[in-house]
Amino acid sequence: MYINEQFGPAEIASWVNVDAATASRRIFSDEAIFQLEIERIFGNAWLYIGHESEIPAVGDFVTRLMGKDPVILVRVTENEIAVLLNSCPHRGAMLCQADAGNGKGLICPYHGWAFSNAGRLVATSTDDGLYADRVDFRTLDLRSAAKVSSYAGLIYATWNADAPSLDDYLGDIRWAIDLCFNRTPGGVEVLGAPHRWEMGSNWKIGPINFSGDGPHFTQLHGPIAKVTQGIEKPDLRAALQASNSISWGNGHNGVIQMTPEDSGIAFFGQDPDLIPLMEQTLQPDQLAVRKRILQAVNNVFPNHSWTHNPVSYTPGKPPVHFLAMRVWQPVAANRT
Amino acid sequence: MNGSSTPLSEPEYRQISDFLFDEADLLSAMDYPAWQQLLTDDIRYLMPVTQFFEVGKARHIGVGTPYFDEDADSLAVRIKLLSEAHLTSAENPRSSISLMISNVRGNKIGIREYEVKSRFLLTRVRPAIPEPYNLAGRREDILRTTDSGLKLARRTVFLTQSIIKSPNLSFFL
Repeated sequence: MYINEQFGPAEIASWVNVDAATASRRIFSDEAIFQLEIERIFGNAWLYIGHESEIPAVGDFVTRLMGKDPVILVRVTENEIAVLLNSCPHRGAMLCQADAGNGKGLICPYHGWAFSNAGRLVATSTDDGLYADRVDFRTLDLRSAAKVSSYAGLIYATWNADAPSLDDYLGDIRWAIDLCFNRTPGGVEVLGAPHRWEMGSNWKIGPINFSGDGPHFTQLHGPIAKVTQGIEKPDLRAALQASNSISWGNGHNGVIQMTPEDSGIAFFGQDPDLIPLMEQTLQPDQLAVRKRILQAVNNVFPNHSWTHNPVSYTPGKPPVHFLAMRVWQPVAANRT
Repeated sequence: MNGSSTPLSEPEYRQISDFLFDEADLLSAMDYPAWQQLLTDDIRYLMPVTQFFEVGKARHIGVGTPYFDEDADSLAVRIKLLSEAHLTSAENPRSSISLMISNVRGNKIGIREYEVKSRFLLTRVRPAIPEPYNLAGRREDILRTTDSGLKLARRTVFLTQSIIKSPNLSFFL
């Protein structure tokens, strides 16, 4: 309530001037604006939780975040996944402190309340009768995300019961998701556990640099392009200026860079065994892009990014096209 | 390890300790070209991710996603990027680093190789951020006697942190 009173629509609109292409620095440093984002953005948007391949078996779980709320992503049955608030409805204790595991349910370490993987309260402690008739235990299942859905193996969830479907929310960026995550009938699988870092910046620094800040590539990433592939900065800059910066709608943005037409090697850096599989899975326009793709860097609003580009360390060895995702979790205005 | 495993003699223990302490001085100074000379051609440098699991209930997926899984070629790229001022913004100015090594123990395995364990405490300070970054962990190494002295053939670094509280790992341990 206080935040909504403090920041009326006119003031919020003043923070970004699209025509002048400017934004107030306050949006990166103001704690009150950060709290507003937690409420309005992270409380309402579809948030990326994990990939289906991270919880392959029934009972597999990983612990993640939705905004500042810790959640448990669990495979309840072969086809049913749940995203549960990692907080006991009794007194708020954190139920699960492990990063990953497999279980038949959850037992709270505080008073021993037991929950099924679907989040159902199945047993309280042995002190039955403690609350007499004053508590309706049927209302004390684990809180869960309002909606959970997945696209191309990417699992998203939202606290917003009125959110549009995931398909509608993603909209046109599904084309780019397919390009990278749905190239073949089997899709992709993760290679292992995620890396986790903390940095002393606002969470939006990440999405901004995965949405359309192509120019930093020349200055900051020029060295690795030079050392591993012999590309000089002027050529890098020219190639970036020829690449496409794309606004997918609904706040999703990205960059797709391709080799110039009729130059270079078709499907540069990509596994030749995958080409027939891509031909049977992708649309013709997606396949045409994959034939010349150099890199795809995108962000699903608000904070789910990925980068996809060829990497090589050894002269003479063909490059490998790698795919890495990042989720920028808001901790504080100056901490992510 | 199969084959023989024998305790270190006093001179061997001294030689291995000196190697690790001298190496730690190079790593503290970020003199990576000099450090590169201490690596064998078949070097493997590995740093897996640290995770929290309930006791007895570890669950791993996939082939693994280590922070580092380097051979001589990939290390050469990293060393070049970190060592030349015009090729790095992460390490220009360089970090101020103190790498302390302790708890050195090992065995001789085979004719020319040693398996060596040690623990480390890294303190790293970046320009413009006065708060030091501290990171502890341990290493499991294979050292090999060569014509030019002891060299590092394999290192696996195990970190205490499951969430890296540093913006990068632009250094070697």
